[in-house]
Amino acid sequence: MELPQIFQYSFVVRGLLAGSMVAIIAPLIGIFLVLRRYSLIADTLAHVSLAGVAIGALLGISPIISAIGVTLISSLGIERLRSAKKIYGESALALFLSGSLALAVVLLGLAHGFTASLFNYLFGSIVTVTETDVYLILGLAVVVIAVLVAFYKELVYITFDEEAAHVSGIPTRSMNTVLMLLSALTVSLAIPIVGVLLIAALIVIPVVTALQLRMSFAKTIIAAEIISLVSVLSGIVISFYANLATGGTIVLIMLLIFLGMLLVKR
Amino acid sequence: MQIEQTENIIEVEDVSFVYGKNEVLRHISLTVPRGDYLGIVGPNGAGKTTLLKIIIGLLLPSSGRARIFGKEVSEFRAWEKIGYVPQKVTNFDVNFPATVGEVVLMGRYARRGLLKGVTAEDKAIVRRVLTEVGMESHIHRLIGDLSGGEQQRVFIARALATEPEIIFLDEPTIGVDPRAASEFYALLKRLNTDRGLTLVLVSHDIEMVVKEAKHVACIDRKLVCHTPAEDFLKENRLNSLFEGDFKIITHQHPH
Repeated sequence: MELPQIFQYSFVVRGLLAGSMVAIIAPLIGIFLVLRRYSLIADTLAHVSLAGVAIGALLGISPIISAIGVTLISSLGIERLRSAKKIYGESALALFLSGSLALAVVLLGLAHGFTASLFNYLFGSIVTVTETDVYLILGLAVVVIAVLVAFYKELVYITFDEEAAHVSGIPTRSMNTVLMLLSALTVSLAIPIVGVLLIAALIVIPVVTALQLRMSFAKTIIAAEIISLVSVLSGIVISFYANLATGGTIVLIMLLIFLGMLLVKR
Repeated sequence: MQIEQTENIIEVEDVSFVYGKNEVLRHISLTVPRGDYLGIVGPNGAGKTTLLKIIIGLLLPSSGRARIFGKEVSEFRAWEKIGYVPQKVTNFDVNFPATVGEVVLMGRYARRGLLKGVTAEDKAIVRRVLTEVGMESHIHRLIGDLSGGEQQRVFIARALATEPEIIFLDEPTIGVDPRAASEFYALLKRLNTDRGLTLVLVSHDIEMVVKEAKHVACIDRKLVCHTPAEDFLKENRLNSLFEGDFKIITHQHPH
């Protein structure tokens, strides 16, 4: 039996594998970020990850690895600034967002000849996913899922009612740090699939769509997972056949599902 | 071990709290014995909630100390002994995707600790406490779809699910209609008299607290009075509270 044409291209298979992993972890992080009004953190970390990509390009190391390093460190810095309450929470995000973008532009200017692949990092391109990337994404996705499962009940409690969670003995500050680190990891892993400019959509839209269904916490996560997987996988396949930009196609499919849900729910 | 009736669960010693240049609490001392039902009353902005948050460790006092079950709050770890019903109806997200069952299950987390999953026993306790507050038939409904009074019952069920020895409640009847509020107070009284649960209730509703609680502490930045509830009206403490006039503190324990 012959495989369908799409599966004969190893880059598509790699893209589908990496895409499924990212599709699974993005809503798991997203539900906590969205419900805690932290949606903008995803966007900020995505911009930060671009600075990480630029550093990787300059140093000649894997951009995913340098992006992971830079976003992890920045996520701790953001959390520090926010909890110190010296400046407003959103201002802390704005500082990091514009600051890291500025750094990225300067560094990319230094790394000549990088402009062609810059487009891939901004908007995603599964063609750039190497076999090593797939293993890296698989491995780290497993780590993200394992940590989320381990601290699931604590994260749910903090998200619903941080004060009551604190009074029940949950270490709220450590849990907030864990959530930030996992967000940083997720954002970095999503770069090859949708690009830094569209990562926030992957983390936020499936969750916001699932929330329209008004179900229990557990069922909302399952619904968001289904929406996310369907969008990412169909986005990759459609963009392959129709020769469209993958990241944009995925996000547009997510938005279509969201709009459909709004219409049905009216 | 037989626990003495007059054991003090809470000891507040000369606690002051300064926020910026604003002195929110001034040299407050009071104790709460096991089995007490203490109503903390006072005008808006009097520092009632601040005092409660200091006692349960959500805020650190600027000076003085608060002990709970004999331990400094900062060193206290036996959180499963504490139930907390926050000022919630007014400020929680009604769109939050959680069912009544899921919310009450959160009350079990203090008993389970980190990295431990919930068990069948936890789920059985969730059902039991929901029955106790008359909400078992709502277990699968979304918390945001309930009325204010029903939500408050769920939050007390969450506190009960912890199987605590003391429950703190912060303005629990705000946004609750009067009939539901009086049912809620009847439930609190049952928990105090039948189950021996110690209750600490913050409220601006002085009339209700005087009727329901065993002791009343009036706060207006300082401790204006701390008396058995039946003495409160007799001594016309209400006037002193709102004039901020300092009176001699009476201090008695139930027997």
